[in-house]
Amino acid sequence: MSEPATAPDLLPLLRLASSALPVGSFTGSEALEYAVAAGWVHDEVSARDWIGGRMRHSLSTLDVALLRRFQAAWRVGAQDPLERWSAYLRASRESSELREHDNAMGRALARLLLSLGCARARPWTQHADASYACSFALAAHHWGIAPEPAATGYVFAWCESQVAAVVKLVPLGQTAGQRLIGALIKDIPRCVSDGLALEDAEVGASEPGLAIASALHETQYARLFRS
Amino acid sequence: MPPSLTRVPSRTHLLDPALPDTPPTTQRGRARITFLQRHGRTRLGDLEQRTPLRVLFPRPGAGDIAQAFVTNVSGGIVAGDALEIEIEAGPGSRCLVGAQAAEKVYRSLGPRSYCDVSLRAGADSWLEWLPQETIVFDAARFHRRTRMEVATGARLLAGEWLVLGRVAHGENLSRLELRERLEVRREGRLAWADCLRIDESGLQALAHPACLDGARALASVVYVGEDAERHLDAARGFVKAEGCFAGVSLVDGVLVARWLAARPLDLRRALARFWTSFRALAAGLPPRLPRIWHI
Repeated sequence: MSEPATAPDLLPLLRLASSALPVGSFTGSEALEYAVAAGWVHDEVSARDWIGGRMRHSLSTLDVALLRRFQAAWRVGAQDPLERWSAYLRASRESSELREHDNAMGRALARLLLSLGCARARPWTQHADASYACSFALAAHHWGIAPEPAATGYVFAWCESQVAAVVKLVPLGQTAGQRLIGALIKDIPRCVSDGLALEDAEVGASEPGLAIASALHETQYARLFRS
Repeated sequence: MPPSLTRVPSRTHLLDPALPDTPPTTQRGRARITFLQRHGRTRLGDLEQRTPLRVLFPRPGAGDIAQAFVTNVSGGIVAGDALEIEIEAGPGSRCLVGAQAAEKVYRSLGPRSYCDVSLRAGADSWLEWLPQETIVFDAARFHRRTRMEVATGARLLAGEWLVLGRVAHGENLSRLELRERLEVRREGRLAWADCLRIDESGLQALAHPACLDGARALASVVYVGEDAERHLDAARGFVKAEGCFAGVSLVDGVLVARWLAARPLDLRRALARFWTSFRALAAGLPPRLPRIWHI
């Protein structure tokens, strides 16, 4: 976003990145609940490291990289890359609960888009490989949001939902949560530009520790979150 | 005679003979092994070997299945090398293929080295791909890709196993370019994909708890088969091991076990336990590893 966006341009993005969007993002912690139980995340600094690291090693190199590809495919109406990258994204989600969480959010957003008059969302309301990134890219295309601001909104919304989870789990105060958001958003432009520039062969998440944490979360005794 | 002339500068490289200044040559090795089932017995189908890869066929232990071991006679992978390993278990056959020894990937002054592994389990076959550790030296540039294809009714137990730096020598990592890709296709459909990326600029990933959490050894083992879900609870028990952070999840019919360890030996013990327990449970095979694995 080299030029400051004007208000009419900004509004669809604010709507799409809003935590009020009814897609159930608050039901998943993406193994943050395990990270807190294991003591890795226990205060503001460790929360920042965890969320910031995940942003670099997974959000940027997988989600952002695929958002660009999904949005390009929606723009030209190409079915094949949508299917191929959706299958790849699902296959890259490290654990069963991470797959289910992403799939549920992808379907929920597709249902919302369909009920708002976006007919192209219909097959993705039931699709086994539906993902939040793919539905989000359709929404961005449908509402005329360019790829870079769309990806920025996606990462921001993810950060906000992770911070909301960590505030509940550690727990941290609301002001600490806002300080966390303030620190994390400094890294978002880099996360977006790196992810958008990635070549096909480099696309993928690189988080063995998260994969194990999430696998262990599946059998964790007391849980607030579904992932 | 001035003292400087009494010194023998050329001997300095002997301090670390494992690190030649420049790689001698680059090599394109290839091994292709196929097994077939005839009249209820598994036997060798095709065999192709190109230096520096060679294939050994030790006699299986009592009650065990056909075995083959790939060995790299050059003593390690140097910059510019490209190795290709292709294993196919034909319909109904049962076999175990593995590495004969730990693989070493030497430092690079520029070029990358590659290893491409393709594992195909034909209908109703049983295929094991049993790794030894690949030790990636500091400053290596190594890209490995392991593609697994599992047909209807087939079962595959396969792993890959990395050690980052020569931990036993106390080697720290200053720079490294590593790509470890794993892909499982079931009846043609991509079911699991994994991509470990470590870059010169990304050594911080080694410390982050979501990435490697400071581990220097890591492994993934997948089990693909129609009965995978039945073995999930048992696998969760087998995976636990001292000195390892480990877990198992079942993703679209693929059972994925992973380990991170600070000490490579802890991981070796953990893998041996998991492997022997799992093959006994899932296929009724002897709960032991081939003798070659212990040498």
